Amino acid sequence: MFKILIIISLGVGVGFILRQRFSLNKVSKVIMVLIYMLLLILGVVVGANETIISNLGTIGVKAAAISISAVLGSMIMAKILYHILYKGKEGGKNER
Amino acid sequence: MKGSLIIVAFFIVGIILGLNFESLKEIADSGLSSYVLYALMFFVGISIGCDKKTLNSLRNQDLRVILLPIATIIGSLGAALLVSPFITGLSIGETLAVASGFGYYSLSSIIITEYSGAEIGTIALMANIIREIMALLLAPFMVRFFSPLALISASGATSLDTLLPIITRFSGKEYVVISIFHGLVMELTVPILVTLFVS
Repeated sequence: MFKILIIISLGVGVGFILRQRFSLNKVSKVIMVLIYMLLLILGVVVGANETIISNLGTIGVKAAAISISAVLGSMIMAKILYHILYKGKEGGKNER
Repeated sequence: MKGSLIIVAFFIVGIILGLNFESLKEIADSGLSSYVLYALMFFVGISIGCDKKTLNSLRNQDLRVILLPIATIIGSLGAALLVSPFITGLSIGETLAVASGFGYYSLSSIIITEYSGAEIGTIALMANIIREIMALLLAPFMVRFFSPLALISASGATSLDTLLPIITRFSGKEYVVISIFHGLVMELTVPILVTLFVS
């Protein structure tokens, strides 16, 4: 766990010191290529794993359960925050 | 949206390759992915460090706006904690890690795969894609019944990019800055929280 956090911190340090030299666009492109590679590898592992392939339905249900509840939970918290911050004064709310 | 399609396409091509070529699995299992992941995290760090926008936007926000990412985190993780007893096969930590993706499916699923294996990694990928799609499709409903801030919260890390045009349209232009700030904070939180919960 600490390995990853240390590597990110290292990156932040290097990025900050060399911030004049790096172009954010190029860094973002490198990030995307690495993400593509890793998702391709994840796909290969999933495709070659019979247990995952035959349970794809259950996996999907679990994923949906977690994401639907997480979205609901965060919306409820945001709604509470909205009412605390704007206390009923609803300026410029959803036209269109 | 185009970006999401490309990502899903890579995953699906991978599945097709894995289904058809048994030998590829050895390459995938060889530990190569760990090194690519380390490289990725290093570059994610660089992108945070050299982005002047990140630091400036963190500096220029008033306290009230800073509360929104906190609300998103507490809401998502609190709800995930409540459902976690019903999710068989995932520990509480793993369920929280999946919920900590906040829609940033590429990064979260990759980190989770590294620690908990491909099955839970796939759950994370699906769960966080579903989160983005829900925010995309239910945006007007979320604004109407839960407030303009709720749409930003529901979008998670994607309030910075994919969902920004939708948020501008349905929450309103005055929420653009909050939305960008929220997305930035969530994006920084994803690798940290996911790693903490999964290990």
